[in-house]
Amino acid sequence: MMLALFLLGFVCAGGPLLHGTEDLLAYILENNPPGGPAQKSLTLFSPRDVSEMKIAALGLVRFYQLIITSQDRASCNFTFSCSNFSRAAIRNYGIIHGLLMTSDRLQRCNSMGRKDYPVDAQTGRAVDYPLERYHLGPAKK
Amino acid sequence: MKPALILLLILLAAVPYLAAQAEPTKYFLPENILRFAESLYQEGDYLRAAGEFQRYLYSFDALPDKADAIIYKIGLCYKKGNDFEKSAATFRKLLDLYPQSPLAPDSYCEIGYSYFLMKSYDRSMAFLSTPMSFNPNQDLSLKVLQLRGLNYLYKKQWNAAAAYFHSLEPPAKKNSLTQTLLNFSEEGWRLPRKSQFLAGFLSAIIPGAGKIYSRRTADGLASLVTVGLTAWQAYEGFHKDGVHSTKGWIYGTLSAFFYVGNIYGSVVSVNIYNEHLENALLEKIGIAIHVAF
Repeated sequence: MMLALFLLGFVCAGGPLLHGTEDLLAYILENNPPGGPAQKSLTLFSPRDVSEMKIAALGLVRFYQLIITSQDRASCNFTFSCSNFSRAAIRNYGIIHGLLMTSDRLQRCNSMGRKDYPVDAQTGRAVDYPLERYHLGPAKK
Repeated sequence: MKPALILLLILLAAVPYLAAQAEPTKYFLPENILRFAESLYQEGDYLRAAGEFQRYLYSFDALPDKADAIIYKIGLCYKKGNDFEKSAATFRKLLDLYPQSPLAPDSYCEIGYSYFLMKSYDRSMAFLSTPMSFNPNQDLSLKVLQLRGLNYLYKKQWNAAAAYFHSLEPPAKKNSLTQTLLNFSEEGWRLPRKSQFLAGFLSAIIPGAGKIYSRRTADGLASLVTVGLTAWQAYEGFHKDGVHSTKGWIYGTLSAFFYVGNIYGSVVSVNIYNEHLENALLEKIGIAIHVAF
């Protein structure tokens, strides 16, 4: 079952290619900064920059976004949503910190706690960025 | 000849003369550019004023007399227009070009203050530690000393700030603003911060307790319910079907995921709580220094 989930994640990691080229480009640029060593080969996911587990986890979140949550209305208390928070956390801080931050965010995503956060005027949802506030450990360089 | 025609001829003959009388305003004369720049400055349109002041300087082949005052004004424009990088660069230019100008001491202070406003506290401290090429007056010396201490405060190095203000010599130390800043640094040191370790420990014993400790009661209760319910479901699954229970493993994994995340989140919430306390104090300091700087 774990293998199936892993493979599913890997397959869905290609999702941005079909559903958001800009998203994918931003991701590649983020992981291949200009002048950096990995810039010469702009492969989809450079093994030097991204682990397989990270791709699988990102793919699973993407699978959730594309297949599951697209079937009903947006109901997250926050903007940006928990799944986007999770993707950003995993991308920026790796799989372990990313998952811990995701778990924390899911527990904070309740209507009772909304008074503790500023509200976005446009969407009326709670706001909890910048992301690094919810990360323990040294800031990303 | 009809009178109307005569009148028309007279008018036509007078046109060149009238045109010669009405001298067009020469908008691009340096003094007019300067007047326009001053007007923009008075209106609070600082960035455009900076552009006009620069245009005034460049309308001469060589830098005019009192160019130091204009460069200083450009620096002020950038500072008031919140472009602190440019304001620091402009004041630096003044120091390089006119080291003996009466505005050089003020420019020195403004460079340090611009870095401070950019939140480049290390840069500000490093600059303010460089020797001055002029003899500063007492007011400026005091301002520089206070600015150095402010950098410690805004870096949230409360102990270092208190030690620094204590170490100042009597004329500066007895100044009312210095005393206020000293009090703030001691207040910052004594802020009722919460403990990260205690929050993590509490959450490890009772899920959500660490968040309640850091005044996030709703999030704490949500954590308690989430971890509690998933753990209960896992217990039920294992109790019914033993270690081969699919339900037990799924809910067990979820429960562990939420349990560890709850400890992580508790430590984060304490950090945020402490940050709020410190930021509230920094806001008070900001109000106190607003008049002096």
